[in-house]
Amino acid sequence: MYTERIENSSNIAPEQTLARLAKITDLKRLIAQSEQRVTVSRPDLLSDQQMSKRLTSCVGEIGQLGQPWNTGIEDIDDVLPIAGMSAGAVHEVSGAAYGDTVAASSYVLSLLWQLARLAPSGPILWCQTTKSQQEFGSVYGAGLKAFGFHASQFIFAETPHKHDVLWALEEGARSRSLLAVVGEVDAISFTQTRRLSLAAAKSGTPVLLLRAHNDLSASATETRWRIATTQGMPDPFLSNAPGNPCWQVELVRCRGGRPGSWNVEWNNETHRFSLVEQFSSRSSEVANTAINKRQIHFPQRRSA
Amino acid sequence: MRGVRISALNENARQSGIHQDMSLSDARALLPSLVTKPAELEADVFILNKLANWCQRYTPVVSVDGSDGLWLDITGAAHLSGGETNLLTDLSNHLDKIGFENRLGLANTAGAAWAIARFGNDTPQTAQIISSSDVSRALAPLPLEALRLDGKAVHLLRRFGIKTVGALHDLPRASLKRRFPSKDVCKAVLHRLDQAFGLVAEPITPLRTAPDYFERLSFHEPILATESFRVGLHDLLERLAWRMEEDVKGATRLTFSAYHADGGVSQITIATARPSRDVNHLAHLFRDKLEGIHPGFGVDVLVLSAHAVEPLNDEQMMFSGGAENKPSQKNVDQLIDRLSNRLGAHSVQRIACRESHVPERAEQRFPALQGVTDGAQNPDSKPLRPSRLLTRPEPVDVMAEVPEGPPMRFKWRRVMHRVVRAEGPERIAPEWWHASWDAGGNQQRTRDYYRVEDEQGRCFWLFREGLYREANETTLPTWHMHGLFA
Repeated sequence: MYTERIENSSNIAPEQTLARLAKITDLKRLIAQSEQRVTVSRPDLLSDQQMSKRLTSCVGEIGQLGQPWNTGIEDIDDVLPIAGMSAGAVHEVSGAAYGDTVAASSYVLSLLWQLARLAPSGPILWCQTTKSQQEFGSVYGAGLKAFGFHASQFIFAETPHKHDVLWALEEGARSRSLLAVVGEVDAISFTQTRRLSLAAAKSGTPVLLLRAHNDLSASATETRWRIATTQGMPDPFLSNAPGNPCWQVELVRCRGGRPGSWNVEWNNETHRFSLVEQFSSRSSEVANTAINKRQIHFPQRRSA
Repeated sequence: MRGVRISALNENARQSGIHQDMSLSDARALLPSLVTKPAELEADVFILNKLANWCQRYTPVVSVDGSDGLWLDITGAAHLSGGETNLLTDLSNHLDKIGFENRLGLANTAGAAWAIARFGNDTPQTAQIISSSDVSRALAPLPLEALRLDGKAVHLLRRFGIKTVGALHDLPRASLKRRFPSKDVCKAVLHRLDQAFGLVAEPITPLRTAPDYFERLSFHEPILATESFRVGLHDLLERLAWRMEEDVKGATRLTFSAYHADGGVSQITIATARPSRDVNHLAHLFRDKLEGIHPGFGVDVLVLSAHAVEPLNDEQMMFSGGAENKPSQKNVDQLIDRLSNRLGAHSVQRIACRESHVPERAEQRFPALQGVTDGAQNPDSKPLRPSRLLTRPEPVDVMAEVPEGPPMRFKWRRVMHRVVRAEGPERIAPEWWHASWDAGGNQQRTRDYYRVEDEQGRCFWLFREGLYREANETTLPTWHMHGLFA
């Protein structure tokens, strides 16, 4: 088990390095080509415009490879395709039940913070339908502090029609000026998600969809997360008070990755995920006596 | 004035000897075949205002005069229609076509134009232009009413034997003063006289504030296709942008007006977060709305006007050809413009934090078009706030162990939740400096907020409104759900 972990963690780096190396080789070849153009004019070589376009895109791609957008938890990041989620894609998050929709929305916020930490650039566009606003309220500025954000980093769009929300999402994804785009939509068709994912891929702006818990239709998204609230630890200073939020995070679908399920806790102060062991997600009585947990519950491992 | 009177009549009736204000029975006696209809004064005002809007195709400064006239200040706008004579001919032809009898007068003062239009020689259809050199000659033969004097003053002057404007103008002012019973009457008469001769300024108050920039495009034949509007708009935008660039200005509001050949106006207004003169961006904002123009029988004049103009410096381009791949504030603003113009300015919002403890007042949502305001930062000492706030607090059925304690069980949206952990209360009193009555007419009361967690780990923000010790039969404390935590 231990050795496996080491292998896994070291696996992240080579994969990324390889991709970066390939890109740099590309770049070198392009530069060589452009130098050649100055000395001998050959018709089969790229034109000035094409050349500069290729160079820009190549440099841009290398820049994008920078740091992966991940959860910060090894167990989860390991199963994700590039040791993280790709920015130029659509990701969807839904609650496991009706009451978990808010947890899903909070998970979106925490994922966004993971992204904002990498490259703090641009505001976040958050679109919702009037229906969804009536149902689950709207994002509360003062509450964003628990996710590291300040209210001024958000732009909110609210419209009665779903197609206007989708339009706004696409406009946002294409604008290249935002950190990310979030949409709260009930039912979304495959074609619509496909369109959004093309827009996201072109601009490198991630689109996060907050879908209804009972909407299981196919979609062209890179990952699909399902979030269920679980009971976490109480407040460390006040045993009767609710503590940090805990979720059972299930990766239902992941292109190029493996599905899985984990129990995570979001720290409201440090704005980081941490993995929660299964047995701590019990009621407070158990948690309170958790200090003696080893003596009570652990099955003894026998050596052969 | 009693009985039914004639309020308006046409040329044929006039020739039979009927005039305005004649009683209906007299008119019937003169011309038994007279066709009459009850006057609709409100409809007249409405149609006159509509006509005034339509007249903005010639100049932005248009104003309504009384119940039957319009002012058009064509200073600096006549060349757009090919000179003064052409403008008047065009205006007259259009009005004829739409079906309005009209008398036009043009002079270098509003008073003179009014006089010549209403009291000029009796051939209406031809417009009369008074050049600036012969104002006094043109006005001299006109009756005193042409000076916009009230009935009493005219009557008095007639008794003196003064019947024309010329006669009044020639009189020495000092002697005139002595003849009037009061100074005020005399002053009013002289003021009108001076206005007509241009000795006193008389500005025209336009229906709408005149735009800072104004471009106009007219067509020989009315156009119908949306594509033509698009081309016309692009042309106007380019001209406007060029002029604004010369002055280092940018507009935050633009209005595109299409003047219909049959006397209607369609207008589209767009707004931007920052001053702009970027033709492509502005055209993009107009694009979706252009389809909303219903040209009817065709549109023959397009006008683009820029309001709310502010200074705008040129942006420095990057050496590599602009900050295309870099997310910039400009791109964000352009996105906000596009969203706001399609979804409505109030649908696209930003949040500003305010210094208030009342949760719904602690944040203010304002249209993103207004730009970013550096609101008050959240004080860090504030207890945890929910990530979602309900649009309005929802009533909850609560069972509490002790009256002033946290809930033990509560029922919200028909689901029962058993509380496992709770934190609170956080007491928030209403702000005395605000009205203590909410929209529903209930008095605002002190709130005790609790953060509670149910068996499934879901976290809620509840509050109890009102205190038990202050309660009587009618004001029992009530419980509400206000926010949802992660």
